[in-house]
Amino acid sequence: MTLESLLLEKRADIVRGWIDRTLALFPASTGVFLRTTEDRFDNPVGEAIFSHMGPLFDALLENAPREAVEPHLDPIVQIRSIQDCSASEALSFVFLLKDVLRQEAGDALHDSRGEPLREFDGRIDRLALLAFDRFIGFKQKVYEIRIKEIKNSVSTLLKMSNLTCDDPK
Amino acid sequence: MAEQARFDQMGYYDPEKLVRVDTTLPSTGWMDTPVAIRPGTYIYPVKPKHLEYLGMPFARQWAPADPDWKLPPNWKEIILDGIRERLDRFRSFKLFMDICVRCGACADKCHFFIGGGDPKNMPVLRAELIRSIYRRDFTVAGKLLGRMAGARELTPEVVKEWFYYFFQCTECRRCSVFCPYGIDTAEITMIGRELLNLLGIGINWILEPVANCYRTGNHLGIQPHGLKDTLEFFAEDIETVTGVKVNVPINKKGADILFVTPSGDFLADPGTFTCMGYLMLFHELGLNYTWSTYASEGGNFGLFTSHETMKRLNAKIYAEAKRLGVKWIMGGECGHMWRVLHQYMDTMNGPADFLEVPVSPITGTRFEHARSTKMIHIVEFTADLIKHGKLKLDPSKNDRIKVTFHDSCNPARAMGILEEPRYVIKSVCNHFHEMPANTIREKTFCCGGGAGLGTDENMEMRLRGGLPRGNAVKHVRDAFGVNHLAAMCAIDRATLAPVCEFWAPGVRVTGIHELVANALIMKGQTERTLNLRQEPLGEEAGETAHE
Repeated sequence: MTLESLLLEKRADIVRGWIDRTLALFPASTGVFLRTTEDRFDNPVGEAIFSHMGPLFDALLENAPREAVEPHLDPIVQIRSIQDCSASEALSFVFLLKDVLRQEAGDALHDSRGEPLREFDGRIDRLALLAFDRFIGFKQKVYEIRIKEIKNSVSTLLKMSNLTCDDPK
Repeated sequence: MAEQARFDQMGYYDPEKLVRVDTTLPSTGWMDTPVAIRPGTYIYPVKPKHLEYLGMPFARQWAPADPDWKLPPNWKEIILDGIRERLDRFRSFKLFMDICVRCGACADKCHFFIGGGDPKNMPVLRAELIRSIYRRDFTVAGKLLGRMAGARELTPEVVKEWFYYFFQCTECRRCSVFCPYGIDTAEITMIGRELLNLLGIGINWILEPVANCYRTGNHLGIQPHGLKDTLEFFAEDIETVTGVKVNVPINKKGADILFVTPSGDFLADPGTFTCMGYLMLFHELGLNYTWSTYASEGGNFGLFTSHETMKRLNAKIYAEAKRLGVKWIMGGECGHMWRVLHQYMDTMNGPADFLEVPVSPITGTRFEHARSTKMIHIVEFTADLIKHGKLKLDPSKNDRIKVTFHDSCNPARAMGILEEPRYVIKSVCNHFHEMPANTIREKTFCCGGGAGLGTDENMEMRLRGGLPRGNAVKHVRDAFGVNHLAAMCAIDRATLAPVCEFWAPGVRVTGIHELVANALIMKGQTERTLNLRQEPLGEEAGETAHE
């Protein structure tokens, strides 16, 4: 049995474990809220975690290209980029998958030769690097928005003084 | 084997060891979890000169990230006396301290909690920050039983916690809608901020506008000649777009109506385009009205400071109405202004018995609901005009726009203006789509920057708070191709632009009267090809706009 087929067999347990561990990054009472509030508009953070972590795992299994991973990575990373935590805390959810894999598929993994797992760990590491890129991208967006807001707040003064210059694009 | 393995060998990852890794947070009770104040997580403190100008106490240089906040020696006594005084003055405060049963109905209704996940942003817990002090020093149970009764001692750490969390509440009152006892957490935040101000602890983004407003009549400190230049500059832009040269009556004695709008509309995009909309509408109607350089601010950051400060700033509106001899007052598109004017102005600075009950000179409608305050909201005025067919409108001019409407917390939830803005928007736009029901009307989600939090140093905090709103906007963008978000609040127009840009890129923010002006057919206008932003008007669009 290949590692992929083993992980596919245990997909439900792995994704559940990954979500559980991710929710445990939040304070306990917040974790309960994120888990139990079903409406996507009342609970956008929980919605992002529950609806995107499964497909994100599938993308890893398929070794999908960046373009297929980002739609499921972005919603989670974007939220983490503006929450009150350090960058390492924000992105630690990616690495939690390594723990979960070993917990959920540990016995079978002992029997395998290690090579496939190391290859899969590599995919998780690449996911972490991609998450880092996206995280920085969202942070940069925050700072661009800050600058734009400052300009907008005095736009009349800038226009009256002929001090505006926009990207011709 | 595991001990000798390298990190790239299977044995390095000992599954037994890995499952023992505890990734949960240490679970201390909220009283034992001190607030971590780091740069980037707080709003800058007030500069001493503004406190001095306002005659507020303990002006000093201090920094939230410093361990020592240079509190006055008798700070504890000041706070406890402050609480005692407010318990006597405000029956609501006393009730709200006593009646909460901690049912948790409010807990998950705050946008800051929903977006950020910090339990101290649950409204019930934010209120406990004060309630715990109240219990210990003002109730028998708390005095005797201490922690068992939910009481705790007032320490400098508590003051820091108050600063951190009472400036993470936008006083939007969404939590109050769900409270079975009707506890208004916004009022608890207001009291919390009043108490902090007694120690000279406030934020610059509130108190500088307050000082400006006290000095020049508006938050931005625009002086009379500056305001005149600005409005005339708008008139030039309007002439470019319409070919019509609009009147700009300023400080006109004997006008029928005094018009007051938030000063954000004078300087900040996209509020400026809404301001042009007012000028065009009033000109087209031939309204005998006036702007004022003295009462040049509809907003009132005193509301976010203290009851006394709110009263001081508000006083200029009736004073100016009296000086100019107008009949009644109209307010522009503003949010918290409306709460102050409707809920407090009459008792603070009234009765305005020198004014008349507002009557529309165009339709003859008598606005009975304003017979006491003598002031109406421009959206009520415009809705009435449209209802009576008094405006020539061409909604197809807005066909590039697919719009949704954000109910601003104060006009909607606090004051109940729910239908008029929708009626106006639907009359001037052909494409209108509502956001989901649990995110609009009285359940509307705050922009995340109200109540004085709309500065830039806390942008991440604002985007956290703006997540629930941004998420709903994203939904209508994806489902219906919505590309504009309309709001009738100056703070919203400023703060929702970043929220949309981050969470729902491609959606721009607009005021309602910008949309009205684009659709308005004016007497003597040239062919209209541009909107007020001087972009093409009309139908062929379809494309999502990009800021």
